[in-house]
Amino acid sequence: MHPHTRHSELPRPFAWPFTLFFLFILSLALPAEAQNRVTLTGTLRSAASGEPLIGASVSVAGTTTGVETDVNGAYMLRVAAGTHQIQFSYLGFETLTREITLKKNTRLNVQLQETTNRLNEVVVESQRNSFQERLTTPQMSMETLTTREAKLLPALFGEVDIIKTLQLKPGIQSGGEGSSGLFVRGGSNDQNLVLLDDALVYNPSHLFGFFSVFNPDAVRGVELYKGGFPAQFGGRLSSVLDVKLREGNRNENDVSGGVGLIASRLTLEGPIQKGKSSYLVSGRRTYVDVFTRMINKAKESDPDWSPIPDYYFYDFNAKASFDLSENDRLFISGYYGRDFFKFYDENFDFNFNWGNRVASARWMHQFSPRFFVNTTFSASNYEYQIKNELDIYTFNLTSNITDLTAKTDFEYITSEKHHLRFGAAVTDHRFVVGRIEANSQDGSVNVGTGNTYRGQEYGVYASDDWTLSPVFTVSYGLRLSGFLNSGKNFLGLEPRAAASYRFSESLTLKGNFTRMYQYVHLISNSGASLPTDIWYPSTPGVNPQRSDQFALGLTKLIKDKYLLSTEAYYKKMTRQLDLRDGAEIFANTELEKEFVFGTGDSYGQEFYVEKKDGKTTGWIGYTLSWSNRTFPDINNGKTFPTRFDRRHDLSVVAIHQLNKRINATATFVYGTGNAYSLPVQRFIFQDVEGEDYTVIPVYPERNSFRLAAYHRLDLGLVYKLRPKRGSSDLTFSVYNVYNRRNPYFVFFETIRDEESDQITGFVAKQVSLFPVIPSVTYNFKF
Amino acid sequence: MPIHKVLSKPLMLLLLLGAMVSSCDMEQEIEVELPTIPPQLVVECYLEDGKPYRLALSESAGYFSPPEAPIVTGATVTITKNNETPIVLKDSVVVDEENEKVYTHYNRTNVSTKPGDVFTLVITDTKGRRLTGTTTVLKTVPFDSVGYKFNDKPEENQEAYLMARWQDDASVRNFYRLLAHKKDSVGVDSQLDAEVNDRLRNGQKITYTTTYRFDRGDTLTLKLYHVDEAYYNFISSVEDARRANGNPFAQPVTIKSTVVGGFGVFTHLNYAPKELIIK
Repeated sequence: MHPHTRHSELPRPFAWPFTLFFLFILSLALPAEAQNRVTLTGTLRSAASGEPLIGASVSVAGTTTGVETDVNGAYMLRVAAGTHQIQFSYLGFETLTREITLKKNTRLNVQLQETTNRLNEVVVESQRNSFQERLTTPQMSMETLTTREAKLLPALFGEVDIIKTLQLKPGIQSGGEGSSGLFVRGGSNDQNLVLLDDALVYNPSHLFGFFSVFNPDAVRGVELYKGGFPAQFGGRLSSVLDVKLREGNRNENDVSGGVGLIASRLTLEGPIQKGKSSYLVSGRRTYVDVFTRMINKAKESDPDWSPIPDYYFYDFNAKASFDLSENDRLFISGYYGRDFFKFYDENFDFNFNWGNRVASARWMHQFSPRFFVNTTFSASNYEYQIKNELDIYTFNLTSNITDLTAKTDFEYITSEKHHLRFGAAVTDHRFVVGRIEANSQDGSVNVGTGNTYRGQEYGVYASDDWTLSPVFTVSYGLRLSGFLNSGKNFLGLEPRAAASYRFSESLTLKGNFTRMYQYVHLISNSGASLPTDIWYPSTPGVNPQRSDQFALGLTKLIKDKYLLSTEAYYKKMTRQLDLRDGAEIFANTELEKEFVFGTGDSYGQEFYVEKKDGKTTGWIGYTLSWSNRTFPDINNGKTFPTRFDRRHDLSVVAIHQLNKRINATATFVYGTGNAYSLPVQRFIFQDVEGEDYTVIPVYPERNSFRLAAYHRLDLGLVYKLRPKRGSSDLTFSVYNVYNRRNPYFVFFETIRDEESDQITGFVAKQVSLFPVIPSVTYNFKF
Repeated sequence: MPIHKVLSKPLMLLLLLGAMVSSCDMEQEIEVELPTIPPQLVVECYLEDGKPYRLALSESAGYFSPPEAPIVTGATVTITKNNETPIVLKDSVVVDEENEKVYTHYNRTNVSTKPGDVFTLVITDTKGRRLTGTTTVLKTVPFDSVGYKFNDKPEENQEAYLMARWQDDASVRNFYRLLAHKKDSVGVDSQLDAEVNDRLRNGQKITYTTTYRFDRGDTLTLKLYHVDEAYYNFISSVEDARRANGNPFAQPVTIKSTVVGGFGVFTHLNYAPKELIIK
């Protein structure tokens, strides 16, 4: 193929700029400054369960200095040496204020008491301080969401899905009705780095994308980066989705769960050694198949009955966390999930199953409160199997990918002005692509084929958050990434930079630039994401994908109550991969011949308003965007919009506390219709045997039509019950309240005269998926 | 059979299941405004040894235009064999009732071919459109054997599967189209239409088998066309395009015509048919 295309453009040798950069950072950071300011670090936990609190606020009372805890519940606050009133607050917990005299860098772990009734009172304390952090940090293009928030919102079939809740944030789109796919700032669904407790998840969806693999009972929260990627992340072009599992109750054993319309969940958690270690085991399973089997059984005697396919999925999450010593913590996490799809009749037996297996172990060591390291080993596997029996024939198809990863991440706060991060990661990939076996009992057919590829992906990085002045902060970093396959070594130099300038107490300007490389590619021959899509490595004939993204934004705080932010972005993507028309991706030993390469660009502007305190909270997000692709071999080389190119995208989320026991919620979404290909012309085809004339559609251009706009209102209600022991609630959801027929796809139907079978005309038909769907879920904990 | 085609059916069923749950009408007629683009010539010309020169010429139409046969009149149609004198096909509608086919252009001269012959088609019409095509005659590939086998059901409702086997030539890439039809009272009744290539079985004996679906007493005619890659791609693209309309998972498909300047096919068909009576 063309082994010397883009690769040769990269500056060589590569290692030099990186080393120089690293030394530069160190030289900047190392000189110790006069320590008139000190750092306070620590973790915020729930006193009852010992679980970390994400997004909690830590602030200096009476000032605008404040930070938010991260996904591990950790915080870091820089203050002048001296005595301060430090305030810790979190929604649903009692606010704690402590007076502390700080002379040197100090670590302070804090436990907050839950307010007696969780919905008793929304914390009156202003969320001002967490808003304050968003004003001061150069980090932008990022969304944080906790399961707690997601659980309040209405959900399809009552199944809470944190990914679908994320789709309500600006710049993040779903892949269509009910889909848990993520299309971030015009990127594709395979350009998301999905991490579950630091381990990569290849296919984060169940049921062809209708549900994500993240069980809300086991997930604590997520962070999603749309841009401004920190240097420790790499390997995907468009987003980083960092999902963290809960650690489990460190103080007492808990059983919690839920019974819903289509699935049930059960979680066990408790201390292994009280106060020091904990475990969590959580599982769920859908049970629609129980009913469809009963229907099939009842209809067995009906010869016209076409059996409903059998479908179910289950998944398990487990996590154990240990405090090994004052300075060492260990976390072990695992996920196992499978989807099963079975379709059969008298002489046909089609079995299809797929799923992920993920495990990770992370060791966190603290050299000092300002210097710590996380070392993680993880393994990830995704596979699918199709077993098809047709009379005497058996047909098996399998594909899988297995990753083993080791990485280490250091964080060093050398002085008040510098916050360093550096580390390295290496991954061994093993791809088995389209292994096929076909046999027949009589031996007349016996075919086997398939390919195995290996590749090693690695990255080293360094970055520094540099506070130049109280109003001006820059964050700059560099990641050197690479991929080894078949003796070919690809290298990528990925600069990451961000800056923020604070004009006033309530207004900040931010900007960033990031470059990302992606070395593995998802090969999909469908418009949607199917479990059979194949992951394929970079090879001498397939160069890595690359993206450059710029973003510029303003963050404004109004009356300490509303956080307003807007970001404009532009993203350019090269070496995008698609398939030729009619490409055969299964059992193809020369798969690369079916690939075509092109470029993509997307740009737009996002607007966001959020209100976090008071009885009514929520947010409004709006995105104006464009997303295009250009392939010399597709659409005659003419640029075309992606299917999810969405000019206008609006989401409104409102949560209102009616009284102590009832929370009412509403979400509304509006989006420009998906770009869609429709035939413009047709011709009649007789074929060699003119038995049946067929109408052949002619598609002139790709995605040149628009489906009707998508809009939907969902309502939800969480009603707290008063059981004798523990807590429980009933969650009601109504999906698509006004029963809008949102378009899923459009096709053209040929109308024939019933008697003569002559064609009498043609009509366009639109198919919708979900009408109004009410649901109720019972959740309990004791 | 390509797996995505196997898969798309259960997937669709699953989707429809979602729609069924509600038992609401999830399908509705809508208005779609299509741009007007000029119609293009559409040709279907299959040369067969011993049969007259004939073809069907029409044009594409807007999807929602009235469903009338868009016959093209006044076109000049010639077919040239190697460097011989071009044969002119005249406008004349001929209906082949046996095969339920319609031809619009005709010359009574019989086609005579041997492997390696090159035929060229040129069509020009009164609107200045020009369509051309070339095809090379390939060797006929005979069946090694054809056969059938009944399943284990009681004799009165036993069904048979059909098996056809032929030898692939290892020196070149080969493409085949296997057809089987049953003669019935109203004409031909297609029973099997399969596109096969030798990608996985180059130089080997290729066996094609169906599912159990033939009854005792069926009389089948099997034809194995040894086709060129262009025709194979055309037939596949036509199949894919037909499927793409109405499948939310499919990508739009460009028709890969074997001709230039319009849609359609110009090819030679060679085959050694076999008759098989299932007893």
